[in-house]
Amino acid sequence: MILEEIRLKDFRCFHGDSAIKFSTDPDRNVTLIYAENGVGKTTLLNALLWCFYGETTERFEKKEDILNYDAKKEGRTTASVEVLFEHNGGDYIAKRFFVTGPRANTSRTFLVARIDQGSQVELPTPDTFINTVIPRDMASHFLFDGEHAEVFLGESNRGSIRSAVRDILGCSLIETAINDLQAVSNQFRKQIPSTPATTRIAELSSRIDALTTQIEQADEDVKHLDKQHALTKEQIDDIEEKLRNTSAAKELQRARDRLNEQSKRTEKRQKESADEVYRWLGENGRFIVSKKITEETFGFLDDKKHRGRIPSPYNEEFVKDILAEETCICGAHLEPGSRSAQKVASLLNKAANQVVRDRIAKVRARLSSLKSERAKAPNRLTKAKERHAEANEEMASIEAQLGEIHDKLKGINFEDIAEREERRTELRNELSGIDRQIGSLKTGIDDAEKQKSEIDQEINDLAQQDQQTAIYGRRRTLCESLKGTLELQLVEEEERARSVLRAGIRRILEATSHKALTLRMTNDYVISLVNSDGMALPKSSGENQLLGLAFTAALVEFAKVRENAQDYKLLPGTIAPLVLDSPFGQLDEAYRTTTAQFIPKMARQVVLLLSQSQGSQEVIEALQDRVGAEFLLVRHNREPIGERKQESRYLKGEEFKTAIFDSAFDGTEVLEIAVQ
Amino acid sequence: MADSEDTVNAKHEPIIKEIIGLEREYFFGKRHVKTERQRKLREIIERHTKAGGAEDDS
Repeated sequence: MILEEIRLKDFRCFHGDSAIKFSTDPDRNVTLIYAENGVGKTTLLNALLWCFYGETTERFEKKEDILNYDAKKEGRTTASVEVLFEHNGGDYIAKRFFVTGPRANTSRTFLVARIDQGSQVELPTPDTFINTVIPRDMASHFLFDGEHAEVFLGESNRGSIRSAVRDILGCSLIETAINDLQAVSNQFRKQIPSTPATTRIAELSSRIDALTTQIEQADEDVKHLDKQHALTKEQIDDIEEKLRNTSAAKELQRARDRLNEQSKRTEKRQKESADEVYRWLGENGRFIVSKKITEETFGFLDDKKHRGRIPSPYNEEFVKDILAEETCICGAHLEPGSRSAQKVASLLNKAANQVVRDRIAKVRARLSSLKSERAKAPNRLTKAKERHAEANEEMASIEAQLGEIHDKLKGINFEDIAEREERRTELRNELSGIDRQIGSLKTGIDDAEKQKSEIDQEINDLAQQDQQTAIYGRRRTLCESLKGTLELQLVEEEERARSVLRAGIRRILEATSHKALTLRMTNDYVISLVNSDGMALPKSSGENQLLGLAFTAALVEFAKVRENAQDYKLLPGTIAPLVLDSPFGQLDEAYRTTTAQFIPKMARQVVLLLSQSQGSQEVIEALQDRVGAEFLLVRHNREPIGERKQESRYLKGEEFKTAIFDSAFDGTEVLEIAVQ
Repeated sequence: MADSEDTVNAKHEPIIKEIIGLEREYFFGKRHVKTERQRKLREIIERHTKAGGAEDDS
């Protein structure tokens, strides 16, 4: 899909008719849209999503307020977004309407038409068509909200990363099939007829229903608590940001930031050294417990009582040869059955054969090795323990310093500092409480799932034993077996996708980062940056954002590679435009320039939404040769300028006002800047 | 072990093809129609587990 134009009519902050013609030139594939915060960058991104799918991003506020406020006041009842695009050589227009008033329930809300020699031929199934062009699940990864990239790749957000990989891999069909098979299996369970022989099944079945309800409730609670966690965390971050910007608290907050970073690293070292001690015990514990047994065994082998027996001075093969030859080593004849022959034969009682001799040699060698390993072993343990003690000590010192900072901040009685610090402590306590609740709910869910699976198995076994119920047992077994097969296939596909993505992200990081950083993505989607020694590094906000961008670029690349994928179970990938909202937020200037150079290469068509602080001179220069269209979003205000300072922006050597006062309406205007 | 897994996969392939076909039809056609989709899935499972010997089950 190549975006050609977007037309907005009274959509959110866009008052009246507005339009943006995107650059479709492959060499100048970037469309730049400048806008300050609150003027409509995120609204524009959501307009695309809303037009195609009737949905907006999770964080889009007041989702239901689609119609522009002034337009509503002026008596207009319809808001709309139209997107003109090209797909596989054809031109199309998608239109979505939001209608209020008496026509609200009767109006059509969505249509897609093919533009054929100037006339529009409506498609019979517009939703299906759009889903073929860009499947809904993939869309949010092309419409990239840079401000939240950091959260997206945050450590507690592995689920989102997994979903993103699955979305781009086109797993929707397999995932729905797995869920449907589970639902159908449950239906068969509930259908098992009640007979005297199946009373137990009925009991177990209601137990499963109860456990299911319990799990669903706990899942809901976890979701709710996760949101609460994010909200509380945001509040803490806000307070810390304010403290950072308050002159009296600035230094203390900075010191706290540094200590918090140090604390994360120390905590990691604590864990690593503790793990090392456990690993050591696993590998070397036998050397410690073997001390006594080694000594006793050596003692036994060396004991005079056993000398001459272990190993024997006589060799079984040698004695047998003498008896077979019937000749003693002194040359005398040994008559079989004679006293002399019997005496020689009695030596066999003490004689050792090759097997025994080998065993004894091995026992000695093993004992010697245990002895020498035991001598060496404590060094590693001692070192690990020392590292652990050092980390503990450092942690104690960090905690003490953090405590002091807290006390100092609490003691500053102006600019609301003490109050904020107090609130921060409360919020942190709340956060710990939330984490504990989540932990306990998750343990409960795991236990209930385990019980459920055991009961389910028992039901199936019982159902198979009764003639009337056997068929349900077999149907359920088939559902489970199919589900298992699909789950395994999904895991395999995911593994393949992960390795492609890993390679893609690494390549992108190499091109954009000036540090020698490597990406590590584990099978359960923990993403970290590691240095050349393989040590995981704490990510700065900027690095997190860069990683988020690299991850998105790798997803876009992967979707493109999969455009013609033939696997019947997976949806094919797609070539889609990449819309990036504030991608440079947390990056420092050096990162911004290299990232800006890289962005045009991320997709066939890129739409970049930038605020003044993001679109610095260096960034614009780095993009210059690839920009095919530029727009500025201007904020109109009915209010007079009053005491405010006129905001403006210089583009192409010309001054543009970014906010207009005493205007006829409150809303956003789109202004095209001529590309030189 | 791998062999028996492959055998199970091969045995399930036709029914899985049928199920994915159904999911595809609803994914592109009736995206949120869940009850009807699951009813059709039930019918597929029932067809593949006719009364009689378990050896008929796909």
